[in-house]
Parts: sequence; structure tokens; C-alpha cells
Amino acid sequence: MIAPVKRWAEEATPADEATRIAGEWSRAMGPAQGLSASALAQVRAQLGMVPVTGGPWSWVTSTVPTALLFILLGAGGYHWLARANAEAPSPRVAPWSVEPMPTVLPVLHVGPVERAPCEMAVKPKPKRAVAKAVAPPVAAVAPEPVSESDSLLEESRLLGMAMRLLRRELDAKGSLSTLDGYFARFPTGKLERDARSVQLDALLSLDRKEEALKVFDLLAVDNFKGMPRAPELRVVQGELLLREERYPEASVAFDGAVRSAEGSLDLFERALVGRGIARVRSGDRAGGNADLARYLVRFPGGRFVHQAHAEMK
Amino acid sequence: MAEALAQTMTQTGAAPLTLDDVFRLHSKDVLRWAARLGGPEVELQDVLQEVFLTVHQELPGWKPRTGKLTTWLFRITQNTVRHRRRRERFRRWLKGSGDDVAGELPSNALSADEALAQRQSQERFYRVLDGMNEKYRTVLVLFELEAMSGEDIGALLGAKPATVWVWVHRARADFLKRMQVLLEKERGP
Repeated sequence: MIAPVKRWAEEATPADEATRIAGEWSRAMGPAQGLSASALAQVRAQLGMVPVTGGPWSWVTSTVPTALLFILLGAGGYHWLARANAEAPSPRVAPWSVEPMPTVLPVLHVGPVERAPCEMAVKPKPKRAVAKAVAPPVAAVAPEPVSESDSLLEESRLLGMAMRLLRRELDAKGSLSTLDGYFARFPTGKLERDARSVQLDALLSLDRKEEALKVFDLLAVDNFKGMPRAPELRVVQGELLLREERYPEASVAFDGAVRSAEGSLDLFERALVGRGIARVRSGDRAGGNADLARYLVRFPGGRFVHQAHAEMK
Repeated sequence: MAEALAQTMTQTGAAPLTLDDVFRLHSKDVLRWAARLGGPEVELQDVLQEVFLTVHQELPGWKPRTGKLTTWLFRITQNTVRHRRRRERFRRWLKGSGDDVAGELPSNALSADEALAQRQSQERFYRVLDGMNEKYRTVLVLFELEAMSGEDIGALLGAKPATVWVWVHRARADFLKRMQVLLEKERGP
């Protein structure tokens, strides 16, 4: 079907002024920006590209053993099961779990398909008694070796949970406590930098600036290496330091931001004016005024024009 | 092509789609959608990662029968971008000083620099879009910026082409109205 209307960008003779301007703006959009091959590779690495667990029949594999278990229990066969389970760990242990899972308790997997049948199966009361009876001491069972991809999967699961809590459920505190668990478990995890980024978002949304600054200090040690949104984070760090009246440190943070934020006009604007203000207030009036003058030339109608003029006086 | 390949892979039951397959076939689509829907303020790398993290978590539950893979992916991308925009607005509001709030208002300055002028046009375009209803915003972006056909938009959004055209008409009218309001504000009293 042919489009019943012409796109604004394709209108050779626009019917009115508004359509002409809309066409002008549409043409200014250009092609959609992409990501460099290295950035794509970074995302791939951070995601781990590990094999997906579950599948269309995963609910069968997760439900049938549990159902069989309870049928057998109902038939009075739990002594046999207890012996069998004491000898071997449950085959339904999540493959990425680093904790030994020696009991017959069904393990809730991550996949959404599995959740409902497992929860239904968990309800019956006898389960607790059996679990108690058959669970050998944890130390007696050697933990299964955890492969790199398994631990990455667990990392991504925890991080995904923290992100979901923060962004979808607006539960910043819950997100932070999930992240605490993540950092305790994976102090040098592959997704540690991404976790720090989420941690900062959560702390800032709770207005816990002091703690956010401590995280920033930690990240600044290696110059935000490997951090997603590094230019933005540098700007935010500078702004927080400026508010705390830690001007020399703010100046350093904004300096890094000015160097790295050229690609984003908004960030560059904030970084440049921030560095100017920080320099002036830390005693480097000449350097600060030069930054502010540069800001006024580059952004004559910018957001911080009044502030820049005020600082220059 | 990628979509056909993905469908074939899943329908023949040869092997379930993995995260790697989906990333290989559709990461460019996701990036393009995210860039268009989110505008210049969105961090594409973060969005891409978040989208594929969701894909990773939900892929076991996805079945080819329930819809096209691209429709599902587009919905995830759309939601991710929407949450990010909302969070960004919330954060600006939270941290906003008088100057920050003033920054939300249109600037009436024009630079001689061509690149800056282009950037300003883009920012204005997205400033108008940001006031719009999510559905109309999406349709307008796909039609005007992505130059997609009504059929393709319908397939992506799970709507009939006729419905898509109605949305396009309404979205365009709404955009032009909001654009004029913005231009009047810029011109000042």
C-alpha cells in the first residue's frame, strides 16, 4: 500500500509554513547513529553471550520431576528418595548456582515460564519435613565447579534484577541491596562496572550524594575505565563536587568531562561551564574566566548564561 | 531476511534461538530503533545492553507462534527507551536548579555553526516529540524518520495498516500543533 501522505522530508512544495519547518527538521535528523564495532563487542562481552537456559519445553523438565517427587512422597516412598538424594545432589540445580544444592527442594529458575509450575509445586507442607530429613550437612557436599559462563550468567541475573528494581519498580533501596549482594559475591565481576553505574543511579535517585561521591572516587582512580556513560558520570561527579564546594576536585572532574564529552552537546555545555565555575572558585580566575568566555561564545543562548556572567564579575 | 532466518530457525525446530543468534540478527535493528525513539540524549550502548539483558531473561518464554521476533524486540526496545527517558526527566527534575529548569525552555539563540544548527533542529524535533502520546510518538518516528511503510509499522507494532495510517495522521497533526506552540515560545511575547 502506498503511503496516503507524503513524508515531510519529501515534500517539495509544502502546503504551509509548519509543514515546511517540519520538513526542515526531519531532513536535519540524518541517518540514525550507531555504535562502533568495539562498542558492540563490549556489549557482547558484558552480556556474556552465554547459552540461554530453559526453552519451550523447559516447564516440562522442571515440573515433571517435582510432580513425580510428590506422587512418590504421597505413596510413602520418601525414605527411598531420602537415601537417593543424600547420595547425589538434585539434578535440577541451577547450573550457574555457586552454592551447593543438596536438598530435594525444587529450585526456582530464572526463566519466567518455569516460575508458575515451581511455585505451585513448592506449596505442599510435607516438603519441609522431607527436606530437613534428607538434607546432609552443607560441608559434606562438594560444590560443583562453576564455569566462567555460569558465573557470568549469575552476574547478569543479579544485575538485571537490580536494574529492573530501579527502573521499572522505582525501588532504589531494593536495587541497592541487590547490588550489595552482587558486590559481595562478585567483587571483581565482569559486569562490575555496569553494576557501579546502576549503583550510582540508585544512590542519586535517593539523594545519597555522599555515598555517590565515594563511588565516584572509587571509579576515578582508574579514570572511569570501562564505565558505560563515562562522560555523563564525570559531569555528574563534577556537579556533585561543586555543590559540596570541593572546587579543586570538581575542576579535575569537569576537566576529564570536557575532554570526553565533545560528542554530546548537552554534556559538553555542562562540563565547560562547570569547569569554569570550579576554576574561578578554586582561585584560578584566569583559567575559569577563559572557560566561561569560551562557554558564552559557544552557547550564546545556553542554559547557564546568567550563571557564567555572574561568576565572571 | 534476518527475520525470515530467525523464523525458519525456530519453526523448523532445529535449535532454539539463543541470545547470540538474536544479537547477531537484530542488534543493528535495536540500535536504530533506540536511536530514533530516544533521540540524542539516549546512551545507545546502555540501551542495547539493557534490551539484550531482557531478551536473555525472557527468551525461554518467547514462542514464534505468539508473534514476530521483531515485534517482540521492538516492544522491549520501546519500553527500555521509554523508561530511560522518564528516568532522565525525573533525574533532571530531581537535581534541577533554576538554571536547569530554564534549560528545559526553548532557547532562542541561533548559532552560525551549521552543525550546531542541525543539532538544534534535532533537539527541537525531540522536544516536540517528548510532549506527545507514546503511541503517536512511535508511529511518527517510524514513518517520518525511519521512512517505514504502513505495513512494516503495522507488523512492528502488531496493528493493521489502516489503523497505522489513522495514527500517522493524528500524530502528524499533533506534532505540527505542538511545534507551532514551541516556535511561538521561542519567538517570545
